[in-house]
Amino acid sequence: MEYVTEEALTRSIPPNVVDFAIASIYTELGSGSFAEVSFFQTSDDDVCLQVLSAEQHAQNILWNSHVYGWPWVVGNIGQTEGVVVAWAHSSPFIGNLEQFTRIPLYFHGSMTALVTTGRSKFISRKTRYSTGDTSLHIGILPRHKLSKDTEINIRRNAMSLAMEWSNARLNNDITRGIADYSYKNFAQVSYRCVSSLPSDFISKGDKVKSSWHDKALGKLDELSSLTTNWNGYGAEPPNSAALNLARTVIKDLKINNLEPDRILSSAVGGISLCFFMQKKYGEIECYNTGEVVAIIKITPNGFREIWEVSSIPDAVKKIKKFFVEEHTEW
Amino acid sequence: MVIRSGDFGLKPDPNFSDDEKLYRRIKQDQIYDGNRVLGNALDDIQEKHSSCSFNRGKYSDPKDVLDSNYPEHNRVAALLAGNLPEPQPHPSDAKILYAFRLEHLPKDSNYSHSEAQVTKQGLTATKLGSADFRRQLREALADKMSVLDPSEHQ
Repeated sequence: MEYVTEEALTRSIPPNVVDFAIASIYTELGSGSFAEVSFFQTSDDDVCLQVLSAEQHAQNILWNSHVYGWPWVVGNIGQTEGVVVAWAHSSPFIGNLEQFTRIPLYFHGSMTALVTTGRSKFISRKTRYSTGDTSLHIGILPRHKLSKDTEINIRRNAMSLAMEWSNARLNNDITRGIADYSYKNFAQVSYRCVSSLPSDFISKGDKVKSSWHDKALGKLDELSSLTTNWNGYGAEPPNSAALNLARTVIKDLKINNLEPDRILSSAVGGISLCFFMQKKYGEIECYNTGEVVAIIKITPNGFREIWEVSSIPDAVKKIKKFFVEEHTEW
Repeated sequence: MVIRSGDFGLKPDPNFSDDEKLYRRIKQDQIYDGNRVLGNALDDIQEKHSSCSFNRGKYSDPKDVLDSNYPEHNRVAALLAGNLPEPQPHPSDAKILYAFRLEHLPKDSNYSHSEAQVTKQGLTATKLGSADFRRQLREALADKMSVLDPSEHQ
C-alpha cells in the first residue's frame, strides 16, 4: 500500500481521488499461481481494510518471487441487488476489446465467484467485495515470468485507468456506477491499458493471438513423424486415424475457444490433448484404433471421470464446463 | 548399477518387498503437478500390449532406466511395489475385479526388467475390453507413481 500511495503522489493524483482509488495486488494464496492488480473505487471502509490486508500479503509474494502470466482486464460495471449485471473482459488474446460477455455470477455472502477469461482459458476467483461500486482488475494468468519492471508498469497502467475512472466520476460522467459510463468508452480505456503494457507481455500475446490452433495442428504434424518405439518401450507412433481424430478435436476446441495446454503422443499409440488448471486436469486421448477417451479429474479430492467418447463436440463441451465451473459441482 | 542377465541368467526373482521401487523413464511433458505422471505415458496394461515395463530397484539404480537413445525421456518415475492400485471393478460387472501384480521378466540386456500386469480373477487378463476401462487402469497406476527429483538419478 505504501508503494502505491507513493506512486499516486508522484503522479499528482488529486487527494480526493486517492481517497477512493484504492490499489491492491491479490494472489491466489493457496496455489501461488494467480496474481492480480485491482483498483477499487469505493468508500466502503471495511472493503478498504480487506484490500490493505491482501495488499500486504500479496506484496511479499510478488516482490520476492517470480510471477508468470498473461494479462487480462476485467471491469465490474455494476451490480443490482447482489447480482452482477455484466462483466467486461478483454485481453490481447481475445482481440476485440469492445465485446462484452455477460457471465452469471454467484454470491457467497460477501464473496463473489467470478469467471473471466484470459486467452482461451477460464479461471475462477473470489472477489473481496460486493458493494456494487465500480472496479477494474488487471490480472496475470500464470504463463510467463515477469520482470519487476513489468510488474511496476502493470501497476502504473492500472493506476492510470483508476484515475481516469475517478476523474469521470468527479465530472459526474459516472453517477450510478460504471453503467452510466458507456461500454464503448470502457472498452477503449481497457484497450489502452492492455496495449500499453510492456513489450515482454505483448510480444508473447501476439504470438498466441496468431492462432493457437495452427500451432496445435503443427504439433500434430510433428508427432506424425515419430517412429515405432519412440519411447524405448515399444510405443507405436500415432497413425492417420489418431491424427485425424485429433484434428477433429482441435476443430471443436477452436469452436469452444478452449486451448489445450499440451499435445502429446500416447504410449498406447495415439494422440493426447491435455488441459490443466491448478488442480484440475482434463484430457482427450485419440487412439490409433479409432477409439477416443476423455478424462476429467481433480487431484486433491480424487475425483475422476473417464468415458469413451461417442461425440467429440460433447466431450469438448463437457471438459470446458468442467474447467469453468466451481469445484463443488464435481 | 544395473545387473545384466549374465549375473543371474534369466531366472526371475519373484520376491518384491513392499519398499522396493520400480523405475520407468518418462519425458518432462508427461509430468504434471510437479511430480505426477500422466496416464498417457503408460502402456496399456494387458498382455497383448506387453504390459507396462519397469526396472526393479532391487537390481538397478534409478539412472539405469535412462537411455541415451531417448534423450528427451530424461526423467524417472517411481512406483513402490507395496503401493499398487486397488483392484478395479469392471464397469459392466462390479463383481469382476481386475487386480495389479508385478512380474519379474529379466531380459538379456536387463535383468531388472519387470512389468506391471493386470489379472482378472487371479489370471493374467488378456482382454480388458473398452478403451475407457483400459485408460482407467493406466490412470490408476499413474496415480501411484511419482517422479523423482533429477538429483536422485544423476
